[in-house]
Amino acid sequence: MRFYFDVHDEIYSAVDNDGTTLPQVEDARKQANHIATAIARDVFDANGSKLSVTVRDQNNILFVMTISLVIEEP
Amino acid sequence: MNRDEIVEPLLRRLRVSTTLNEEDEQAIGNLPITLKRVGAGEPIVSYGDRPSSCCLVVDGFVLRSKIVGSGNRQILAFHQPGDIPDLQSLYLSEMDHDVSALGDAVLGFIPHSSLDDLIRRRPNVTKALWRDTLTDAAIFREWICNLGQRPASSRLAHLIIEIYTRLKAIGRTEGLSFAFPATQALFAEAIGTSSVHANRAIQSLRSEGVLELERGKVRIVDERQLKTIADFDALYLHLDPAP
Repeated sequence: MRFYFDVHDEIYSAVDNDGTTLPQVEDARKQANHIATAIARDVFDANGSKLSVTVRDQNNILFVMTISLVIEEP
Repeated sequence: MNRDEIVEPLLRRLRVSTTLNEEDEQAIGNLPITLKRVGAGEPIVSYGDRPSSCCLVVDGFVLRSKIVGSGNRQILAFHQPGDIPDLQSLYLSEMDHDVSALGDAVLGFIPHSSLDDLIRRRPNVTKALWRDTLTDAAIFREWICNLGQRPASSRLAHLIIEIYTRLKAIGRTEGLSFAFPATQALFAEAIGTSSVHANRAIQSLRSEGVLELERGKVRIVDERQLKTIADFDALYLHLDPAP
C-alpha cells in the first residue's frame, strides 16, 4: 500500500506528494510516529506546541496523529 | 573529451591544498583512465565488491551510501568533479558501502595497479592523496556532528553550504548558485530525516529568505545567514594550501 504523510504545525505545512510504500496500516502508524516525534523536537525547540501528521492513502485520510507539548508547573 | 579535460578537476582540486610540481601533474595526466557515462542512480561499486580500479568523478555528482537494517538508506557523502570517492578500495579491497551516480555523470576509471605505481614513484602525489583521505575523514567527523547534534534545518543548511564551498574551490559555482540534481527525498537521506521533515526544513530556509531550491539547482540567497543557521566553519574542509 502507498501511504502519504502530511505534516502540519503552527507555522509550516508540508504535503507529501511522493508517498511511501509500506505493507500495512500498522507500518504507516510506526512511520507516522517516527516522523512526528522527530519533527516535534524542532517544533518545540522553535517554541511551537503542537504538530499533526495526517496519514492518507490514495483516496482517503486514514488517521491523524497529533503531538502536543504540555508543561505543568507545580 | 581530451585528457586535460579529464584530469583538470582533479588537478584543480589538488592544487588548492597541496603542492604538486610539473612532473607530478604530468604523471597524473599520464594515468590510464577509462571513461564511462552513467545515468542517475546507477550503481558504480557496491557493498562487498572487490573493484580493481578507482573511479574519478569527471563530471556530475556521485554519492556514497549504506543500506541499514531497516532497509532505509543513509547517504554518507556527496562527491563532485575531481573527487575519487572509492580511493579507499586501493588498499581496502572489499567495499563496505555503495557508490552510485546522483545525476547523469561521467566517470574515469583508473586501475589500482597504475595508482599504486604512481604513489610509489611520486612522493608529492602520495602526500596529496593521503591529505585528501584525511580531509575525507574530517568531513565525515563534521557529518557526525551535523546529524547527531543539529536540528533538521541546520543540517540541511550545513550540507548546502558545504557543497557550495567545495564546488566554489574548483570553480563550479555561478555566483551563489550551483547545479545539484538532488530531490527532497535525497536530501532527507543525507540529513537523516523523513522526506516530509526535509520538506519542512526546506520550507523554513526558504521562508527565512536564505535559500531557494529549484529542480536541479540550489540558489543561496543570504550566505551569511545560511552559515549562521548551519553553524558552519569551513576549517574542516582544509581548503588552505598545505605547509
